[in-house]
Amino acid sequence: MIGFIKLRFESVRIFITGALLGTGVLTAQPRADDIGELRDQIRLLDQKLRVLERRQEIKDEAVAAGPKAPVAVAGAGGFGISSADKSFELKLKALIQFDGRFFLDHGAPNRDAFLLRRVRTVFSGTAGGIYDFNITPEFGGGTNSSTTVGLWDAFVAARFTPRLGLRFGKFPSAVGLEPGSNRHFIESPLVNALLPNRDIGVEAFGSFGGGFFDYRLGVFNGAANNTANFGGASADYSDGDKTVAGRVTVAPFKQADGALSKLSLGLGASRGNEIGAAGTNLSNGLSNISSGPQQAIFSYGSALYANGAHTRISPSIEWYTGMPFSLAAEYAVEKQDIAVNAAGSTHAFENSAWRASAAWVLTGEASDKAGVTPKSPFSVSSGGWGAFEVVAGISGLDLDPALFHAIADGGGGIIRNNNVTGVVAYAVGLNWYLNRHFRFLINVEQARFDGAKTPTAAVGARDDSLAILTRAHLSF
Amino acid sequence: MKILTVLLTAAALAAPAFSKNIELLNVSYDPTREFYSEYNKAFARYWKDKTGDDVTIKQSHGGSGKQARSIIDGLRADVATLALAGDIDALHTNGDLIPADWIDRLPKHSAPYTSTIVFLVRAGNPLKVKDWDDLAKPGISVITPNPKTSGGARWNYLAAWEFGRRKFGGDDAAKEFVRKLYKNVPVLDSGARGSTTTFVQRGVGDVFISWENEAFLALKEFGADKFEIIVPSLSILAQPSVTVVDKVVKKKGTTEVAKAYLEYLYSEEAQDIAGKNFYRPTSETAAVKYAASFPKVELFTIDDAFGGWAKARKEHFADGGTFDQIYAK
Repeated sequence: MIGFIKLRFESVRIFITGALLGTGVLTAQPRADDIGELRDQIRLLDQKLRVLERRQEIKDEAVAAGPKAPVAVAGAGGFGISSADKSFELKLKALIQFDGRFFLDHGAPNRDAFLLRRVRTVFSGTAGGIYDFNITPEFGGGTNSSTTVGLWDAFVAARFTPRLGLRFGKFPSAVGLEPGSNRHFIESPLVNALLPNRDIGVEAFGSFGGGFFDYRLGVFNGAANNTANFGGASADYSDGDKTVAGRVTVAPFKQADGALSKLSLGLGASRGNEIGAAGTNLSNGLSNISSGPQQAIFSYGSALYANGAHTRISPSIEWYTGMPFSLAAEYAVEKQDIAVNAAGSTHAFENSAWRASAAWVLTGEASDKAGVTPKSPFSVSSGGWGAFEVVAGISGLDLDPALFHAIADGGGGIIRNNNVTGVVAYAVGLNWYLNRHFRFLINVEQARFDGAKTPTAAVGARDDSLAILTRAHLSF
Repeated sequence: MKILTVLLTAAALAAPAFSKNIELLNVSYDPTREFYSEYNKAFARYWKDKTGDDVTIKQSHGGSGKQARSIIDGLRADVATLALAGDIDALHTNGDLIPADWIDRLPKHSAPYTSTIVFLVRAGNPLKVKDWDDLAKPGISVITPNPKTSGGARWNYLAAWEFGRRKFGGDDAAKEFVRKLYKNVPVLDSGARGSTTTFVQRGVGDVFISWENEAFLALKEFGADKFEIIVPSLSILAQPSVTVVDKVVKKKGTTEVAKAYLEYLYSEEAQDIAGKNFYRPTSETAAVKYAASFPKVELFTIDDAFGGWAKARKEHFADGGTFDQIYAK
């Protein structure tokens, strides 16, 4: 293009000079001021041509440097397509977890099972530079029998500035670390038993000081503990009350180099009213509790129901160091008004739970929140073995003793022999990262239960349990 | 738990150090190519001697405002060495990539070298250009980049504005003066180097409002018999500024070397390289050594004349600012 234009402009230049010569203007005996005038005109014409040439050149350079064709991506970050400037993006990701649970000692019979714990396809992306979306259906259902497909996440988020964004829809609750921060073990149910999983609402979020201080604060329907309900018939929707929930996270050494820069301290909390109705689990606004191997260990039964204020507080520490070791710890305490009989007699009960875990990557790779990326991915042909990580953890649950007191004595009337009143669980495990996306995990968990001497159909715990949990995990 | 934390911390701190190959990206403005090309070699030698590590510095150049935008949009710059503090401020205000007090982290308000704005004219100065007001006369063709994208162009614009304000009295007169001047600009390049190409290589225009170092470089590269430098009666003290891009270096683990890279700009070796490349050194020794190279000119500062970059950007270069008003007309 440039060459063609230059040729054309050169032709014009020669033509002008030729025309001037041809008309005899330049060959006559002109006066000096005529020559001067003609020189000026030629100079001006020459400049105009040069300006046109240069403008065209700049335009061509701008076109060459301008927006490119959309980019199709297939790689470690999933599959997708984006506009050249990345202001429009669509990504397809997946999460598949296939679990096996085997009880070695005690536990209810017939609980050994294979199951599809999570089977999710994640459609996410960006529209218009700052507007993100995420749609995540769940096909697994977390059991060995569910055929229900649910909508796990569905939200849009507008990132106005690094300090302020707004998220609308259904998404992971800010109160606890999980979901999103428990990769050491296959399950960590005891803390989660007292905190919401997903909730529906609107939330502001942002970050200050380059990640030194992060916050999330929103208003939600108020999901019951450890559920991911989607409104409808559940108490969190039907009671009409709203819950305020949020979390602040401080990374005190964020500005430093090295492992300490990844240390973060968090505090999550929620406060709201929850009103259920006597009846089944969840419609009563209360969640029954399961152990690590997902064995039912506590049930509120059909007479009790949520009937008033519900407050949760959960401090945490996370240290995924970027070096081979990592640790995470979390505490949760909840206080909830619960009606204990048909007359609506209501008392506040306080339950607490905690967990702490640490891990070491035996093969030396960096331990990040998302996982471990092996230096030598597993390969039969090249002899790579991937990365191996050992994990150890301890967790506990303390249910309010008053739950087990007689109703006449101001308690909850829950039968102590059929339910656990507290748990301490120890676990060790080995995580084998074949590559960045696929891993095998094996955990051995010993749980010591208080109470629960007589298992029932609803609650299967007895004395203590020893179980092996396994998982094949694929995510991208 | 506490013991475990202590043990793990100790293990982290005791991790052995090995000789490393480090790569830095310096995102800079147009006319610094030659300077940083030479400086990078000097710094790599210094860092190797000091730490045993090899460091390779990649350079990216373009209009200063455009470069700042690229960093905000995700270009992984370890350091930004831009034409003006206002463009670096944008890394904080629009990207939260650096702290608000970045300018106080290095000596001399994070401006390790300075420059000013002069005119480059064709040999013999055929249009007898002497000062800013000659550029607003009818029939003269002036080359300067686009102040929307070029840091150098902003210095040019503000220097002309202040001259107009002092000579003709007040901002309204200055605005009219600058409007006339820009009426004489036939091509707006996006950066200073593009304007150099326009004037020097493509032969467009009678006067090129130029960074001082860029004008000297043109004389050196294309011949002192082809161009002349004209020093106006008044010009602006241009203070190109530098910063580590905190968010990027944290992610890349290059904080230490990126900081050292900028700190070494204040060393005598670096100041000498700056002088050789026609930047005005800020160290006393180098300033004395190269004093004769630089013409004497009355200089004013952006802070004194315009109340700092934030104010100047808002009034003159933001959407709807004076540049939009005069150039749209």
